[in-house]
Parts: sequence; structure tokens; C-alpha cells
Amino acid sequence: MTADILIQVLVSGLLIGLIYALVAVGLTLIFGVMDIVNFAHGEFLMLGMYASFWAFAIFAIDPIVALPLTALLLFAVGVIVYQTVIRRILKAPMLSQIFATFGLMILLRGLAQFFWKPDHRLIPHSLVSGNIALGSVQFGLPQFVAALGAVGVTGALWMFLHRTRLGTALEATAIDREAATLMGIDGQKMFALAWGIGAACAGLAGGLIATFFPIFPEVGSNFILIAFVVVVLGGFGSVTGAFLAGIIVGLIEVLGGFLIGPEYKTAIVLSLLLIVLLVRPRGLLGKA
Amino acid sequence: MLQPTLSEPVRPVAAVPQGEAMLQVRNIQSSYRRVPAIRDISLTLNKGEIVALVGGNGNGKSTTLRAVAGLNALDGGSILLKGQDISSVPAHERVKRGLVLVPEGRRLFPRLTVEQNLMLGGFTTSDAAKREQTLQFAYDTFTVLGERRRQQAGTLSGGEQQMLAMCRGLMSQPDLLMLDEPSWGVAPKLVTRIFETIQLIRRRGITVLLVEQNVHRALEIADRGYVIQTGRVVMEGSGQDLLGNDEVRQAYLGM
Ligand SMILES: Nc1ncnc2c1ncn2[C@@H]1O[C@H](COP(=O)(O)OP(=O)(O)O)[C@@H](O)[C@H]1O
Ligand SMILES: [Mg+2]
Repeated sequence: MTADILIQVLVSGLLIGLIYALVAVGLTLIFGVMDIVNFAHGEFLMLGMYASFWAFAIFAIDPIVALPLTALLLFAVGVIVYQTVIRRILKAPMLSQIFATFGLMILLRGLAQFFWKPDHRLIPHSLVSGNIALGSVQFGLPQFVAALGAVGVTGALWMFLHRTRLGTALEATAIDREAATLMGIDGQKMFALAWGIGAACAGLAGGLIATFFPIFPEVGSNFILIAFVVVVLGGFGSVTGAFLAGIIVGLIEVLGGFLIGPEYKTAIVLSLLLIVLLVRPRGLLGKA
Repeated sequence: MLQPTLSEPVRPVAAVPQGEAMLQVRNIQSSYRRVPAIRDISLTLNKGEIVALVGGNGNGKSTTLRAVAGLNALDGGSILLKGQDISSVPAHERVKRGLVLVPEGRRLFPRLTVEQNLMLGGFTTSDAAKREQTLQFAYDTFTVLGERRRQQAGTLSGGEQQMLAMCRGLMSQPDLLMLDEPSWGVAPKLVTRIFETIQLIRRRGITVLLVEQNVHRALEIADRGYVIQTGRVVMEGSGQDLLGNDEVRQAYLGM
């Protein structure tokens, strides 16, 4: 009986952890390539959710079917944000960079509230709904599909970074921008690409959870804090690290919530952040 | 060790029009945060030449190469590559035009593999067959690179890293290769290999601009040399002339 409950808790933790991982890989990729922390990353997720919502509300396209469109749209948003805002603050002091992306966060939230109202919205009947039961363990099909999608996207990103010419050029830019320039790699293009991919990952996470999570302008705040914990635990800039750390954070959050009490979930995750910063500030797979 | 290719020119030097300038550097100036590092440098490299840039530490040799590569902005003067003014061409575009710098300290991508480093050197070459061909040349010339192709570049010895850096620079099949202290951090027994490689590179028809601490050996293999002092060219001549010059001998060769 208790073993069943434990497995149930672990499965829930794993499923949500994979979503955290997908949000965090985009954040860590942007940071890894250009040392800028994107405080508006949760808003990219929010935009991905609204893209799914409107695709459903207006064109009756299911969020799962709309995923490629969501990804393309958010890729474009990422590139535009880079070209209009980030490019101007590349050499600015760190505080200016923080304020720029923080300001972007407030702007995007404000725009969402203005145009789409602060209401919580739901997508009523997606293609994926209902529960799956494996023995005594139960979980929602939407959550399962979202987790599967997160694994797929993270895996595809890993392949891109490690197995393609363009991806390796992005890695090279992250390691040593000047040396990459000497290879004939255009740093500006790589930065724009990192923002495009980072935003697309967050947007895909939004599209994947839109089938079961309420959609509202501040929804990003539910994820961004956890995403930071994941990035720190995984090691700043490490995509593989963020993937593993996302799972760990999901497990700890759900397990801690179960053992100590759900109202302490956030406190438990943030304690984890403190412990990592004290014991191993470079995270699991971060560069020393 | 070196393959027989050493004695067989891949692109015969005679086929290159003699006397046509590969690089013309005209009175360039460059500074770091308004502090001038080079004040007046002019150089000419003819096609197929090895030209050495010598001078003591901090006299502006690296800054000159970085300015030519486009990493450091010019305060004045101009740079012509194959007759075209590239002074305002961005650094990454200069690679496409055939100008490559193997920088001071090598600047490999340590956590990427040997092969990934080489492939990055061929980033501007869209023809996969061409990239493969140069890769094969690198592995044939330096068998150790082939053996360690899947190993992280950061795990190689200093000499191996330098060979990797030079091969990486060759991957885009440049017309002009600039080498900043290629024998730095290389074990003495491998230094000869480095200088042999520079000659091998020239036999492939590539023009070489060489900065070296090892002034004697650099001038020995160079057709011509320039001596730089506090950011200015103070002397120029053939490699032999400079080697025989008393001032140069006293200042840089300790003889
Ligand atoms: N990154 C830098 N920032 C500030 N000053 C520099 C930098 N690099 C070189 N310098 C200065 O520029 C001058 C020329 O340096 P450099 O070109 O590296 O000389 P060399 O290669 O001949 O040793 C020196 O006075 C050096 O201190
Ligand atoms: Mg130097």
C-alpha cells in the first residue's frame, strides 16, 4: 500500500520534473551562450500557452497539433526580442541587463493582461484527456503526453547541439565567442539563434501544459522560480545538467509536498537552491 | 612523422603570380581603451611568402595580427587583402575571404573533440567533400590527431594542441594564414615539427604571416621579416639580412 503511494508520488514528480527541465533548458542555453539571465523566460511560456489557447478558441486546433506552430511563433518572438532589446545591452553592465529582461517580463505580462484579460482560461476538451492506470498507479494522460513531449524536445535539442554543424557552432560560441569568430562564425547570428531556440523551448513547454494547466497572464511566475533552481542545480549553461536537475527538482517537490505538506512545496525547492549554492555552487554539470 | 607530401608541393608556388600582394597593411593604428598599442604599422606580403614579425614582448605583434583579423578596431590606416580594402569587413567575414588567424594561446574549444574543433575550422566551407579532404590531410600529416579524433581537445599535450590549432586554421583552405607564436608551450623536441609544418603550409600555396618568440628559427624560414618596436616598424629586410644584422642579433638573438 505505502509502496504504491510512493510510486504514485514518484511518477507525478517525474512527469512535472520533465516539464521543469524543458523550461530550464531554454534558460540555461541562453545563459550559456551569452551570460545573460532571461527574467522574461516564464513569459515565453505564457505566450506559448496563449498561442495554444487562441489556436484552439479561434481555429479549433488542438494544442498538441498546434505545437509546431507554437514553436515557430515563439522562435520568432525570441529572435525579435534579441534583435530589438538584447542586442543593445550586450556590453551593458550586468544590472542593466537584469533590468532589461525584468522590464520585458513586466511588459509582456502587462500586454497579456491588457489584450487577453486577467482571467484564468482552460482548454476544455483536448485530444489528450482522461487518466491512465498502471496497476494501482494513476496519472493523467495530458501530463503523460506533456512529459513525453518534453523528453522529445530536450533530446532533439541535445542532438542539435552535439550532432549538427550549426549546433556545434552555437556550442563553440558559448565556449569562446572570439575564437568562434575566428572560425568565421557570426556571433550575432548565434545569439539570435540561442534566443529563438530558448524561447521556442519555453513556448513548447507552454503548449504542452496548456491541455491541463490554467492559462493566465502571470502563469510564468509559477515556473520561472523553479526554472532558476533547476538551472543552478544543473550548472549554469549545461543543457544535460538542466535536464537531470529538472527531474530531481520535480521529484523533490512532489515527494517533499507529500511527506511534509503541499503548502511547503516551494519552500522545499528553495531550500534545495540554498543547499546547492552552499555545497556545490557550480551545480551538477556546470563548468568550474 | 612528416609524410612525403612535404617534398611534393600540392599547389606549385610557381603557379601563383609572383609579386602580387596578398596583404597590404598601410599605416594602421590600434589601441586598447584609448591607450595606443600599435602606432604605425605597414606590411606587405606577396603571394606564397613566409613573412616573420619579430620584436620583444609587448611591442604590438599580437595586436597587429588581431587588427588584421578584424578582432581589434583600427584608429587609422587600412588593410587590403588581395587588393580589396577589408578595413571595415567584420572579422567573421574575413575568414570567408581567405584570411585566418591562429591566435596567441591557441584558443581551442577544450571540451569539444579534436574532430569537432577541426570541423569548426571548416565552418565557412559549405562543400562537405572539401572539408573531408582537408580533414584527411590533417590526419595524414599528424597521425596523432587522427588517433585522438574523439578525444576532448583540452586533453592533448601542448604540442598536439598547437598542431590541432594550425590544422583547424587550415580547414577553411585560407589564402593567408597568420600564426601567433605557434611554438609557445610546445615541448622543445616538437618545435622543429612546428617549423617544418609552417614550411609545408607554404608549399600548399598558402601565404604565412608569422609571429614568433623564437626569432632565430622564424627568420631562418622566412623570406622577409619586419622588426616591430613600441608599435612601429623599425626595420625590414630579408630573413637572412635580419639574421645577419648586428642590431637584431643583439636585441633579439642575444648574440
Ligand atoms: N587586452 C589588452 N588590454 C589592454 N592592453 C593590452 C591588451 N593586449 C595587449 N595590450 C597592450 O598592448 C601592447 C601591445 O601588446 P601585444 O600586441 O600583445 O604585444 P606582443 O604580441 O608584441 O607581445 C602592450 O603594451 C600590451 O600591454
Ligand atoms: Mg603577443
